[in-house]
Amino acid sequence: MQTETVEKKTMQSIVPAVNILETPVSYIVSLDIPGAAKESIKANIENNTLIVAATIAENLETANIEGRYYREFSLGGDIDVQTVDAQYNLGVLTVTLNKKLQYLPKQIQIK
Amino acid sequence: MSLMKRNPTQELSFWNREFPSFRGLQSLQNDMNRIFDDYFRGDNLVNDSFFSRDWNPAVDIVENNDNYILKAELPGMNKDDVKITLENNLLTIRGEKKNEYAKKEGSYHRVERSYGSFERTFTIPGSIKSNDIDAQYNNGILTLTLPKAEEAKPKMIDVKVK
Repeated sequence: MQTETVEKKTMQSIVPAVNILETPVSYIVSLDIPGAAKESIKANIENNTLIVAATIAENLETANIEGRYYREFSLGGDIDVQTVDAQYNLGVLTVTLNKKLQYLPKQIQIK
Repeated sequence: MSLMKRNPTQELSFWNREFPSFRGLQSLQNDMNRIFDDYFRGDNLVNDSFFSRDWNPAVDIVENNDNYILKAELPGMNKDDVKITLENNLLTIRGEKKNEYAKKEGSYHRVERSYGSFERTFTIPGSIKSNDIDAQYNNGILTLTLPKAEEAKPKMIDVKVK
């Protein structure tokens, strides 16, 4: 997970704030997407790019919370794209990207 | 034909306590000062103080004929960590958000989400039914509905055209 491109699809796209925590076994990507409807959230991996998009359900005639969230992340080669997990809770989307087996920390036994 | 009686100061009075653009500049300056202070102390930028700094959740306030509606973006908060108080005509929202991964072993590549305590106070421009305030927390957004008292509602005056 080295580089990142922020692409604005429309004028109303909001780039959500993100935390990326690397643990020994995974990357935990958490994004603030308050007001997003759960069924509108899309988290896809295409060509080693994680794409997160969601529509804001709150219908308020003001600029602050209206529109959609959109953000892309380029993934490194150490991520196992088959075992990605995503959870949405209290306006926070958490995507867990597990590392491939060969990148996991190994314990070396001392003989 | 009908005329709507309006109080011209009503729209402004919400911002008596806080002028958002000034606050924005002030907090930006505070952030810059903090970053410089941390840098010259030799602290890592991603340290505990980074997580515990104060933040200002974004708030929208709308007024319609019957209610004032306030929406605050509070993603990832525990409902019990938000306190809402009404004192005279001052509405205060305060709380604290803790980093959910503080105890997790690892290193941060990016920290953009805000943590720490916050407090925002708003002056309610007209009288409200303080016993009927409704608060909902859904998908990370706190919605407060403050019903207007009868005397604060706009009155319709029929003007007879002779």
